[in-house]
Amino acid sequence: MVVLTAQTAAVNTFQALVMGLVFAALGLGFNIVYRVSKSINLAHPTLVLLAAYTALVVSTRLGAGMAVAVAAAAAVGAAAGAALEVLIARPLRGRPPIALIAATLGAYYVFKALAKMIAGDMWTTASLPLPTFTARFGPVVVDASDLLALGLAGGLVAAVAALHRYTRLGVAMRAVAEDPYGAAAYGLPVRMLTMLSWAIAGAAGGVAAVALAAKTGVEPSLEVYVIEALAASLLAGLDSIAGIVLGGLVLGLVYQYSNFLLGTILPGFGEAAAFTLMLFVLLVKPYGIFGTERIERV
Amino acid sequence: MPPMLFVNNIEVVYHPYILVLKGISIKVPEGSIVAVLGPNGAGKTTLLKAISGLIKLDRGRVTKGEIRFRGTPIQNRDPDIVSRMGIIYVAEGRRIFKELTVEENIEAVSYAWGSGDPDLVYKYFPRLRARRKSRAGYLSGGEQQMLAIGLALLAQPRLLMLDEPSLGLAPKIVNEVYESVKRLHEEEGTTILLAEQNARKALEIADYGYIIENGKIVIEGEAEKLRSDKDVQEFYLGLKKAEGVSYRRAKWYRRKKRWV
Ligand SMILES: Nc1ncnc2c1ncn2[C@@H]1O[C@H](COP(=O)(O)OP(=O)(O)O)[C@@H](O)[C@H]1O
Ligand SMILES: [Mg+2]
Repeated sequence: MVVLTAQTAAVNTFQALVMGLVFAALGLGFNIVYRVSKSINLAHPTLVLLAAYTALVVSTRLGAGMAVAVAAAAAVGAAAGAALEVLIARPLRGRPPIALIAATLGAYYVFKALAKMIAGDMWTTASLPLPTFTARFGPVVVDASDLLALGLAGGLVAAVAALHRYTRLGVAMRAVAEDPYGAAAYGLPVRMLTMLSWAIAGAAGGVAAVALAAKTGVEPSLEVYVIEALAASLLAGLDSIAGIVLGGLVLGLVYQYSNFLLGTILPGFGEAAAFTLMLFVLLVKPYGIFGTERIERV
Repeated sequence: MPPMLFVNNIEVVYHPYILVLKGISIKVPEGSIVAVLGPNGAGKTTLLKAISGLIKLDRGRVTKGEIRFRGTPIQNRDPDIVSRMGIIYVAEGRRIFKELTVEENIEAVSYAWGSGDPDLVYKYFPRLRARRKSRAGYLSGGEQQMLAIGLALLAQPRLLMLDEPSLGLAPKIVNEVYESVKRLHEEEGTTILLAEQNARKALEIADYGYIIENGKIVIEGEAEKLRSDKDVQEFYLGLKKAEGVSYRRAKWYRRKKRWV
């Protein structure tokens, strides 16, 4: 039987915070795509998987440093995101959102196959080669994986928020997301900005993939965490970054504590708890806690 | 000299076979204000969208005739290409980015044009300066219309097309909007194509007018002439009671109640 003491509470809360930020970072990709294309990108989970194996191969097989691995994962993610826009989202524009959701489900399997190809004989469970490093803050031990995950996930969320808020490019992307037709009338390059949004969502998936892999290792079913992050995004209503961070943190807490308290009795309960939470949110608040109610235009 | 914009006998069809414009010709000389008038559903918006290329996004196309801008044919071009040529369309219904602030609206459009001096917007619509941190969705109808026109100015248009700028606004606000339009026409030298149901207001600032009904031009002439034309006065400016009207005239008269 596990007991919750001040010490274990501190350790678990810290880990929940780390995982929460990772979940938020994984959810960003859904958020960006949803805003610009009003649809859920079901290929995002395996896009993350693909980027994680890219980082693994680049850092172990090619022996490159972690910075190079992150850049490679981001580049692969960006390319995959842009490809989704050009090959799927653009031709399906003006169709009901469900058409795009179904098409991204097809891409889910394509990315999974690509991940397996890139992984080659590394298509197993593996850890990223991280430096051994630990620091102690009272009862909380922080190691390299925590620092990498915190830095990447936190930095990513802050960077995307700042892009949308403080740069002309980001504001123009928001304008296109709100009203592509009006944006075209005012001369905004709508196609380019839409593709760029998907590419940024993919790059965010790539960076988040390394943050996730730092904590959980890389495994062929890594995409499950991203599907959980979709829970965080739905919890937030998919259209607010602040909400996604809060949703991610809540999910991190649920995940960490259900594993800690019930993991020995009910192994794998962390995932179940996360999905139950997602189901509950969708039943109670179909537009999410912070989401604005939208009419789905067909 | 050929006119800046020359619409030559065009037909416009919406998908699949809805013929909306049935042979329309208009000319917009450089430096002028031209008004396109007519009741709701006449085809004013369709004409402006056909010129801007936005008609494509509504699954419509020009199937006959041609549109020339400074000599270049532009019918059925993509809207971004047409806007790059200097034709900017301000849609009806105050189509601004409601979730962005006034300032962010200006930034977003500035991104497209590289220029973007927000003072250009505030110069003609000074009310907006005080509201620059507000979300555009919370502005009054008049302020939203001003922002919509102001955003177009950032593109430094050669031809500015305004679609029903008076729609749904109180008369006092309509006057204010029209004042600014007139002022920017004079000071920036912008050529303007104006679609309106509010014929009286439009003819106050226009040089020339076309009246469209049911996809065809029924009357055209100098604004001054139209203002003094007996038919126009009766049916489009609501100045006189109609009596002994023909069928066609009776139809106009009934419409008059709806839109003048
Ligand atoms: N996208 C469309 N598809 C089919 N018909 C349309 C479309 N848009 C407008 N129409 C029709 O074209 C006619 C002219 O409309 P419109 O150009 O909006 O007129 P106005 O601006 O003068 O009110 C109307 O009968 C309208 O129903
Ligand atoms: Mg109209």
